[in-house]
Amino acid sequence: MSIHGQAGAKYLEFEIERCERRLKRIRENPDATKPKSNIMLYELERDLRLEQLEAVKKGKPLGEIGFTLLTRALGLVPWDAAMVADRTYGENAREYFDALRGEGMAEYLCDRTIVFIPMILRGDFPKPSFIGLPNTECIPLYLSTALIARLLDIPVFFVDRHFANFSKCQDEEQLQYVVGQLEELIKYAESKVPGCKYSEDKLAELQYYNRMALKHQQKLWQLRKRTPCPIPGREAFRLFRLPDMYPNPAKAVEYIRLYVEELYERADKGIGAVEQERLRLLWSVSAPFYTDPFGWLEKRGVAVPAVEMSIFNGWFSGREAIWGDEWHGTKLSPLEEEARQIDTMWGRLGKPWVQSHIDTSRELNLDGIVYFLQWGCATTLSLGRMVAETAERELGIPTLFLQGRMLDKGAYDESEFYTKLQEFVDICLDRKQNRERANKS
Amino acid sequence: MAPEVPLGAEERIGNALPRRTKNMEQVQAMEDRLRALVEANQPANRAKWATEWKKQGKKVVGTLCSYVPREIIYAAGMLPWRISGTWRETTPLAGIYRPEITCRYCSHALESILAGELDFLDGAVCTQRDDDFKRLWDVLHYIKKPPFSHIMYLPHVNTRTTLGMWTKSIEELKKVVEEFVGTEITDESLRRAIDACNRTRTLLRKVYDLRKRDVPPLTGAEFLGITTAATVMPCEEFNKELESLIPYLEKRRVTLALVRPRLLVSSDYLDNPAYIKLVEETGCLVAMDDLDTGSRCFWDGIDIATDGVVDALAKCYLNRPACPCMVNWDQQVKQIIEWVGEFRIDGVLELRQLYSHPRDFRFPFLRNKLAEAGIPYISLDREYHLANIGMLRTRIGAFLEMIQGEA
Repeated sequence: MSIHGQAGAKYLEFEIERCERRLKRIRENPDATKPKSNIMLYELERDLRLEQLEAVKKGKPLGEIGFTLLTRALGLVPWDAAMVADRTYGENAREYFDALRGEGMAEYLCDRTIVFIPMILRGDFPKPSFIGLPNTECIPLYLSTALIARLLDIPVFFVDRHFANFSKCQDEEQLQYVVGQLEELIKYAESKVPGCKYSEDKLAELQYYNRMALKHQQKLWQLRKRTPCPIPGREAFRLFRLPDMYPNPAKAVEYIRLYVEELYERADKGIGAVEQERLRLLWSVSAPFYTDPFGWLEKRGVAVPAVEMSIFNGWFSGREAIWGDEWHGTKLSPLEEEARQIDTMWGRLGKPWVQSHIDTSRELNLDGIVYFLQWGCATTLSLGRMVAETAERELGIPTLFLQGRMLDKGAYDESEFYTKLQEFVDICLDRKQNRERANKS
Repeated sequence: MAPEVPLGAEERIGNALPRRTKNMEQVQAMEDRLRALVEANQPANRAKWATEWKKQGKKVVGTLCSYVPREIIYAAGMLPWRISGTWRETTPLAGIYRPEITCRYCSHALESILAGELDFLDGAVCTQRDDDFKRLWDVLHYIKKPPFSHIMYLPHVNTRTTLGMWTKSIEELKKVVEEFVGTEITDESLRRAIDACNRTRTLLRKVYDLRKRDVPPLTGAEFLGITTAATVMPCEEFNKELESLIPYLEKRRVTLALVRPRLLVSSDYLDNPAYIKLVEETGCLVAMDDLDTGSRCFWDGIDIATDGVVDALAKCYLNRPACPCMVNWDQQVKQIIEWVGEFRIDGVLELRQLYSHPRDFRFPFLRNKLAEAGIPYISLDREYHLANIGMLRTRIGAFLEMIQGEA
């Protein structure tokens, strides 16, 4: 049975009900402070869960292959276990962590990447028919998904991407290396999953929608530069879902268009996320889901225009290539484009990650960085110091380290957490005032 | 005829007690040489050969991963030297860059580097076997210590496609090393290096055959001492030493504290024989290992008869018994089960180094498969440095009782 007293597909039904409740509330009693486009967002989420539920009931194959485009291009319904695991924060995650502990798994692993293991094993979330696993996410997510595949005998195909030594760019040989593996993956999936058939047209279509959505996000990036910033920190922290995740990607693009439009309207009226913006911070890696540091900061005049997470700010700012951008002056085929885009900051060497903090902070005129030291996140834990030193040296802004877990509040001390945040806000304000004084004189 | 110690003159060597024999001086000499080899990687000794190498005007390159092909470094006239981290308890210098909750080997290695203990290194090479190693390299590159560092691409899966890119990764290492030393690594020099390293592998396999005996000539701790010696000594010198010791070892008769149960210890970055000694003192014999500092690094030789030199090198490193960072878990389990049979193992003890993710995630899979195979198994956390001795003794003791109860 699931944490909600429900099993298997009923978890999906629960999510559908939740979305319907929210939609009803929005329609009957809209909150003027929240974007009107939220209604579309909940419809999209509901429709995704409806699609998954139908797949479970009718025996249609669910799958996960890196980003969801290839999943859909192969005729599979997306299986987003890690994102679902994000919903289990606070007390709800405890049951799963206890199950893991009982199995002897290490306590210190990244909670987000292990919670879905007992979820799947207990049937609280459906089992996929196929997994395509690139090594470009963090190792814990890679290995936890591999573990699920091994324990449940799910066909799995591993895609290995070369990192360019110290550079973020792949060269042609490395690109074709991934293309070759994707071609093998397609053949393998088609041979293993009944009804699975690759459609290049579908892939190209989804890549188009992703491009459109990211173009809107790039418009939104310009808005993030404004003071006051109209984007609430909690919105900045929301994990961005590409249109390919949804059964109606065109609607997803329309949603993001409307969302950006709304925020521009607010910004043009001078409405910020914070009443009187005194400070602007970059939040990095992740944050605890069981408390709201962004709301807390906003009450104190602190805006969080952006969160540094994976490759998103790179896309949003235009620093990273998005679907459809040229590759060294040429257009890529759909599969080559996919090979290029199977890439996140987590899988690279550290310098691009550090640099992204600097570029984002500079572009958005930020006053400090809050670097969340997520337990078990080996890909970011040991880069914090480099981020802090580089930010201090190149931008003259400080960094706060906050240690914790995203979903499990077992080790969370609210008083300590917010005391540190308050002290940091005070330091940043102080430094900002000193900078302004120095600039005047 | 086996050398013997004169009556009345006995020595205890670890848990091994050579029987009293007649030819004391000869035996003593061999025992001294054996002791020197077993203790080569102890903190007081491990830099000795590297320092001598440097005195000859040659370079030393630290390796941080067993997948780094030592042959390339040798062929360039440099000494590949496996970096053991500091065995001290705390890592305050490393803590500036790496929180406590990250791979302890990486943190202890960084501590050693930052403390200046490894200033003799001209460079360091690692692979991106997991996120911790990538980030360790990022820090080394950031602080520019040692002056030269290189990280190799290592695929996590072994297929024809990935083997091709792994081969290119080795070619890239070759180029980088050539640029660093300013000389070309010829096929000839690479063949010579491969021959020397292959000889090491052959000799170690021969020594490991002795572990199949009811009463091996060495304790498990001593075997680990020998395999780690191979990673800090020049190849030819190690080969010569071991070659001369093997006839002695073949005839060496010792009285070990206990020879049953026979355990296989599985771990990563375990370079301190004190851990194996602790296990054996609890009441067993460590008759075989599944270690990157032990069997996994020498089990298969490089066959340059049919392939090009670099191709052969790539194949060997990718095809040999794999570390948990590789995802061919089925084959890894199969290899462990084969060793259990070959070395007549009564139980598998896994010592998971703290905050080392690949093994953590493989654990439920390994546990299930060993249970299916009817092989007693326990997995315990360990620090990189020797710690939590009481807890380990208690848990291992209970495991041994369980095995003996089932026997």
